[in-house]
Amino acid sequence: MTDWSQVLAEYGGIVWKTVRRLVNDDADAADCFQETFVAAWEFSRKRSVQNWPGLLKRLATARALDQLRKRMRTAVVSLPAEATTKLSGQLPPPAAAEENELFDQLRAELAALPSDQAEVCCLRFLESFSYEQIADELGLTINHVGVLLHRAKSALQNSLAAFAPTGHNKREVDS
Amino acid sequence: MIDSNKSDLVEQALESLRDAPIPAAPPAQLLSETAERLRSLEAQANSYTQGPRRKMVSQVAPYCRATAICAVVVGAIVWMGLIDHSTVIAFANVQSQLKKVKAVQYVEIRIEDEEWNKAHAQQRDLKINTGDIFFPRRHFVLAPYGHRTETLDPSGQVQSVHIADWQTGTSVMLHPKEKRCMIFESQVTIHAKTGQQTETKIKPTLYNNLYAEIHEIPPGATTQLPAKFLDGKRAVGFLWEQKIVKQAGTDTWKRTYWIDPDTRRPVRIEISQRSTDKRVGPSDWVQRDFVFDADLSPALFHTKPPEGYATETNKILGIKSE
Repeated sequence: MTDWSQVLAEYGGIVWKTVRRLVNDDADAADCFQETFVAAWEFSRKRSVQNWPGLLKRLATARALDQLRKRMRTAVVSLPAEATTKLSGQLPPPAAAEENELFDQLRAELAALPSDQAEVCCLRFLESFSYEQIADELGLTINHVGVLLHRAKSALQNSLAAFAPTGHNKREVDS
Repeated sequence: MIDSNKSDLVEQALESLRDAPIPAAPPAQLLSETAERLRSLEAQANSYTQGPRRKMVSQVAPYCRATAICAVVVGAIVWMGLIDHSTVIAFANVQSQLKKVKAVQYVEIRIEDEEWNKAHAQQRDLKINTGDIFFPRRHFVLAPYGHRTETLDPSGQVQSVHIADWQTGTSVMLHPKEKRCMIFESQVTIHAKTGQQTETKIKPTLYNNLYAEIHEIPPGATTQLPAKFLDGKRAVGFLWEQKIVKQAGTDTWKRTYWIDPDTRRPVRIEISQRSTDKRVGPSDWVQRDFVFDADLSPALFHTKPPEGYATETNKILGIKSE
């Protein structure tokens, strides 16, 4: 029988970090945190868990991406154009603002990706999973993981081109 | 923020997000709420899986399943007749059991082959002139020699009565409606080629005497058949096949005795006759409704003509072709 207090104490920090980084909101992160552990509890009733951190990170990433998608859908419907302008006036100093803008854009683009590509991408670059670990966790082949990653990066590259340094853009133009 | 030396913009952006400072620990309240929720889920699940009722059901369930499976398998085996009582019943047991029977009565029905009758109508009329053989017959046998056969008309009334005493070889045929009695004292066999006549005492034949029929079957001559249900009761079958080779053809008689495995007495007898002689049509009989050791009056088996009956004496004629 699983000692959930121990699991929470041991891996609560990992889960929190994963969900908080992606959703960038304490209340949403708290929801995702609880849902992650409930999903882990359901999983553990069906199968024995060999790798708690791997399982929790995967579940947390999936919940956080779901939350991001939900938020994106709500934002598109509810936020009028002038609201964005108003919000932009509350942004911190220029450098931090630019970084936050990049991260928000990145989150939005991750939410817009197909779920399998987004999940693979997050596990690879945000959780530092190896291809093999991703394949094990998601039940995919390593080749399939590579394909999904490639597609995700291609999609993100186009979306994030505006954030590329000037020199980089210049080289592309020159070439 | 983005290192221009790094060629992959996406990787850089994601790594930046990964390394962005985030509060490492979840709020304490969230941890306690989550722990409480998990405990509640665990308790709910345990109360279902380990509650007294569920526990009892889970303990009993495997036995119930095993019992049900066994019952189904045993039922199927019994139904398919794989447990065959014939393995413990030899036909000799049936014969010996019948020797203990003092009286038996049964009904015999002849099953007609309409097609053959139509095709051989003229021949048949010549061959059978009494016609009474086609109606149901009630047989009464009083061990060991008395045999009474009542032939019924289509309305169920007794048309004729044949009484045979197999000890004396005497038999009488009564026609109650006409109050006529035919006494057969002997049988005359005429040899077809030589014309020689042989007069002998009337003997029981395999066809018309149950005792003779069953007792004369040689040991080991029967074949066991798969059991089947007759009138809702299981019966074990024994087949006796007999070939009688004659000059005009070969007659094949098949007798199937369906035996009650408990009483070891017949519940149904099926008789069929087929012949390669084209003049002989297919015939089938079924004997059923057996009653053993019924209280049969000896008066039913008297071969003296009843009072008031006109009597005539006759001989049973038979032609022997070989």
